[in-house]
This record gives sequence, structure tokens and C-alpha cells, in this order.
Amino acid sequence: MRFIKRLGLNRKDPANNRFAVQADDRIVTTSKVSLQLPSGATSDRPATPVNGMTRYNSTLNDSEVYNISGSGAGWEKIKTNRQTTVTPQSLGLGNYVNTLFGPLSYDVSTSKPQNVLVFVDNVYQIPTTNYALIAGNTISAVIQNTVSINNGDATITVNTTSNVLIGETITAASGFAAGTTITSVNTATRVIGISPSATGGNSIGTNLTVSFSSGTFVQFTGIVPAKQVFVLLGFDGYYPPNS
Amino acid sequence: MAITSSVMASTTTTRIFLASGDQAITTIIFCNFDSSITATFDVYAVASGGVVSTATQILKSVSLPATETFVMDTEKLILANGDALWGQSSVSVISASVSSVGI
Repeated sequence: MRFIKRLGLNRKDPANNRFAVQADDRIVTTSKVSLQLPSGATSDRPATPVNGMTRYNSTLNDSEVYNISGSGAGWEKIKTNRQTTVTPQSLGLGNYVNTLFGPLSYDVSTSKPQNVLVFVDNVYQIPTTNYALIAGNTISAVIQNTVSINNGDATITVNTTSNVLIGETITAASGFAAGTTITSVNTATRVIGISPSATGGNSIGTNLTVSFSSGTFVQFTGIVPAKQVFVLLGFDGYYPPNS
Repeated sequence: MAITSSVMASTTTTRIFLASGDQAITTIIFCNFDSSITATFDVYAVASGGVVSTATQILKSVSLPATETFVMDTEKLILANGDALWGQSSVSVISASVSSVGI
């Protein structure tokens, strides 16, 4: 005996619902134990995922679902009712020059600045009015060296340190290895440290491009006084990082 | 060798096959031809001179979703002259097609 459309695992009992695909395409099971999801590392994710794929990520130790439609961001953790940890993060001191601070501990949607509580010293900053969130890959500036750069130099003197941040990549037409990053910024002397050291010479006035390729940053609408800047993260329910 | 088809009534049992001489039932196909109604059905194998009762019932309350088909082809029935198959469905939306062969 068998059904034509209904697919069951038990051929001896065609009406058995231990696990079956009904004629109307519903997948049913009468199991009272569990449904064990496919489990694998992040690297085991399917190469061509489609919306709705669900699995357990053994790298992140969380279940995840693929959703790239609407506001979906690809592989997303399936949220539980676990409480989110609200975490303070210091972004350093203001210096009456910089308006850019970051990166944040994890990426936050730049369209939702209200999801990050920003304080300068003990003063709450109003989202959009006092600051915005911007993506690191949109941050790029051109500065110039005011002292010639020699091969092997680990520091560079530049014309401005406005919004020049530790962690930025520095590039020029020549003289820097790929991936050279800023390791220190002295706003008083306008000297920045770089790693690795310069691999070639550059004369005074060479255009140096500093940029970020990732991360989320707080962009204030005005300069920040010499006070501690910190943020509170986790109000969006996605701390630690979502993926 | 022939096919006998009928729609099972809901208010009373319907004779879906009557053996003429010795016959073997090779397959019985039940089809819910409605697009939205799920119905259940019962089938009875009644010897000549017998009556429809629980003693002759061979299928009980088989649920057949809309547009689904149920095939009874594993179990073969050998009928003598006058033996019959009867059926009844909860809603008159199930057809029964009996494939038989004379032996």
C-alpha cells in the first residue's frame, strides 16, 4: 500500500507520520526528541546559499539561517532569548581636531546610529544631530609629509593628523609595502608611526592616502574636546558580532 | 482482465467490485479527486452471501488528502464468484478503480 504524493519513510505503514512529506508538501514528524540540524564550520557553508538555508555553525557555536533578502545580511544567527551584554568601548580622547573615532568592536548598521549610545565624557550625544555612523570602507583622506621620507623610516611627519587614526592603511605611489598601517599618532608633533617601515624614499609634499577598508566608525558633526569618548554597544541585541 | 471504477458514497457503502467467477484483484487505486477536501474511507471484502461489517473490513478510516491517491497493490485478493468489495468515504470525493483478472 502506498500513497502517490505522500512520501513516508515507513513503507510498511504508509500513513505513518514519524517522518513524512505530505501531499501538500508539508514536512511533518511526530518525533518528540529533536530535529538535528546539519552542523559544520563556517568554511563548510554552501558555496551558493539560498534564502532559508538553516544549519548549526560549529565555528560560531550558534545556529544560523541564510537571509539575503530585505534587511537580511546573509548568514545570520538565529536569535534566542539570551540576554545581550551591553558593553562599553573606549574610543580614545578627543583633541579638538578629530571628528572620526573607531572602529567599533563590531559592525553596526550605519543607518541606525541610535543603536549605539555615544558619550563624550559624561555627556550623551544625540544620534544624527551630534554624530553619524559611517562604514570604514568609505573613509579615505589624502595627507602630505612635511619631512622627506627615507627607506626604513618607521615614523613620518605629516601636515595634518586630523582624522588620521591608528589602524588605517597608508599608501603612496611608492615607498610603502602593501598593507602598511598606522601604529601611532602624535597630534602635537604630527608624527605618525607606521608598520612595516618605509621601503623607499619620498620627497616632501608627497600625497599619502590613509584609509580604512572595514569597520564602523563614529563621525561627529563637530570637533571633540579633550574628553574621553566612549560608546555603549549591545542595545541592538547583536553583541557579540552577528556573523 | 478489466478495470471497474466507481465513486464511493458518503451515506452508505458502495459496492466497488463484484466478482464474476474466480477473479484476482491486482490493484485498487483510490483517488481523492477534490481539490480541497480531505476525506477518509473504509473498504470491506465481503464473501458471497456475507454482509458489510467490521468482520469484513480490510481498510479503516484511511485519510486521503485532497488530490492524493492511495494505491493498494501489494496485497492481492482472490475472489470467488459473488464475492465483492464495498467501500464508503466520509465525503463522496473518492473514486475506486479496481483492476482484476480472471483466474
